[in-house]
Amino acid sequence: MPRFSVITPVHDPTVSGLRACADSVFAQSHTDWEWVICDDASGDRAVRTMLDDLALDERVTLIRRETNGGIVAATNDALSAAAGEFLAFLDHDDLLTAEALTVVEEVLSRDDQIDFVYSDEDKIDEDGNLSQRFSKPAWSPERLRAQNYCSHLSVMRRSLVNELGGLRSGFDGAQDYDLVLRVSERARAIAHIPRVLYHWRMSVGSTAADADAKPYALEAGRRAVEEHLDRMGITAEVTLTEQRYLRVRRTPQATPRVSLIIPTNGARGRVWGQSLTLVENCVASIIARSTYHDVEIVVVHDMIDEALLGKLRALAGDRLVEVPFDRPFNFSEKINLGVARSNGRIIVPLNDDTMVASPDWLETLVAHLEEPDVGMVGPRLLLADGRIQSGGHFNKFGPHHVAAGCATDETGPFGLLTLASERSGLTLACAALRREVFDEVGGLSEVFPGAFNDVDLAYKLQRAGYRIVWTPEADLFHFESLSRDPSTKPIELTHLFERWGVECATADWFLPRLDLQMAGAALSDDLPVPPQTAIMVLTWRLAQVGKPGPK
Amino acid sequence: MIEPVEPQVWNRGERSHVLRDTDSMSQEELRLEIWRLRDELAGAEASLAGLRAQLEGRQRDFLAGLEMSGVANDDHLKKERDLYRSQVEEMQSSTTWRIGRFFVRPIGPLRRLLGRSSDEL
Repeated sequence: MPRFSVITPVHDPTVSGLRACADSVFAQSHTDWEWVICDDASGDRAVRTMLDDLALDERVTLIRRETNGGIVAATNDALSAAAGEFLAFLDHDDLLTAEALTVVEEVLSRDDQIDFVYSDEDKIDEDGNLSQRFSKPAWSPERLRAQNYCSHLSVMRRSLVNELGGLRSGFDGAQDYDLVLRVSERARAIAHIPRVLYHWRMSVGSTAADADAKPYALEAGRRAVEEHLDRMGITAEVTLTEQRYLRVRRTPQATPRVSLIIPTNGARGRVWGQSLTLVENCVASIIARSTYHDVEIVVVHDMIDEALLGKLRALAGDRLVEVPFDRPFNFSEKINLGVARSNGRIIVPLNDDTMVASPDWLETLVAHLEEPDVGMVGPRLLLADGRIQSGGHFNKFGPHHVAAGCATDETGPFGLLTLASERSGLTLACAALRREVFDEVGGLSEVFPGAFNDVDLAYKLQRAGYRIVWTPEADLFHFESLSRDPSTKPIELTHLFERWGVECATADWFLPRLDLQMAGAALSDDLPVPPQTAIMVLTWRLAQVGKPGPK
Repeated sequence: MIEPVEPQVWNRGERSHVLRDTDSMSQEELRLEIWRLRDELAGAEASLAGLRAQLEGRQRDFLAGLEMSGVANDDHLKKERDLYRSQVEEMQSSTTWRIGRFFVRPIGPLRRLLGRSSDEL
């Protein structure tokens, strides 16, 4: 039994495209493979002749269909003839890089639980020029529901694909998306290889060149996600976005009490030309704009004056919980104390310099937390001038806000800013957690009184096996750092490094030059990538407690 | 009641944690105390994992060096061994390592205790 079966359904590609595809297979540095080709009744004589020639190689199995059955039927025919332990899917005019199977083999040999591997990819034009490198994230199930980001190269364990019955008819054009979704529900471990192993051909009329080329594929993808959500027990409406991705609008199954924990010193700030008491403005916006009913507003205050407290009482009534705090400033300690005095099943640390923009922000956040392996979820935060203040945190090349300063209509590389997806962390200016998760990781670390408590919390959550999700479906304004000094203390940085040295080092976060470079370049369509001297494999082990799975 | 343990310094000044007599604590104080302990434990485990990774890295380097230098070269071998020992000793004498050991020693009872929801206590 070969290790890999390369699966290629063929239907009238260009001869040059098919030749290049074949050359890339025969050029593999790994040798333990077979190539199973299913010719879906190609009409082009030159193509048929070339396929006959290819079949002379003993590693190639050629199946011919009498009638054109479409990509699902052709791929399934190829699957039924495959003998390899793993299936590598290759379209008829695309290219594998020469080391593709070698690299995949190296990754698979490290962990026998891996059932699905995907790699980075780029696109190749008719002249052989490469562009649009897609540097993909580590396993990111939330993003997968909005976009088939795994796509090429995908390698799957054959036994699992067979168990699932191969590709499903009725999903033509998005049959691979549907398969990835179904495989991800059952896979024991999934690995991402952050190296381009696949060049996707941009030819006229292909999806690689134009997402609108196959409208039926978009609808099939939408249905695939809808069915996946059904299997996962998630109630949501799935619609197409302008960028031809999917928007998943969830509806919470329950509306448990939410405790908003607002630390404040009663500071005033200037917002849109007006001098405001920030906490008053924040609470007023919660009361006036939020549509979520069961909300408790816990104000942890530095002994603010009675007049201001009176205003808050008038605004919030019996929803207000007052928590006086008379110790030196420590954001973490304040949040912990607030949580200890609160009663909600959902905890939302909220800065006093925020203001609600989306009425259903809490419904959106709460719905995400219904997935047991989601540890924390955060909204899109906007500056007073409407630009993005934070699109969540990425820790690679140093913890930094994603898309800080970008316009809200920026889509980001491969739709990053328009899609709910996993993040390294979130700013605690606003983020929601289930109480039991907060409890499990020991709340906020009080060794970080001002900065990095959010970065530390994110590391703790991820270490405990939770995903952190950011969503652009909920907006809040964050008039950043109006209420306190935004500077960080060197000792906090030291503590962060002491505690999370391994992760920080992995993320190269100590390279400030790269940090700046990457933060600035984060929105480029063609993300520059540092030279790769080693393969870094990010594996999501799905055997952890709280793993996603059908309910 | 939680058995008191020896206070340890974790290079964090006043934040170094000392278990207190829980009988005199309110429900809220107890909850906050448990969160602090869980946080310290998470931090210690993370630091320890970092140290383990460093140690494994040094061991790998050592073995690779040994292989390259040839096992028959006794003098060289001895020097390498001494260097390796000193590196390990240096690491084991670090504050973080000692803190790690401090946390690892009672890890079983602590885990059993902290595994319970603070609401149960």
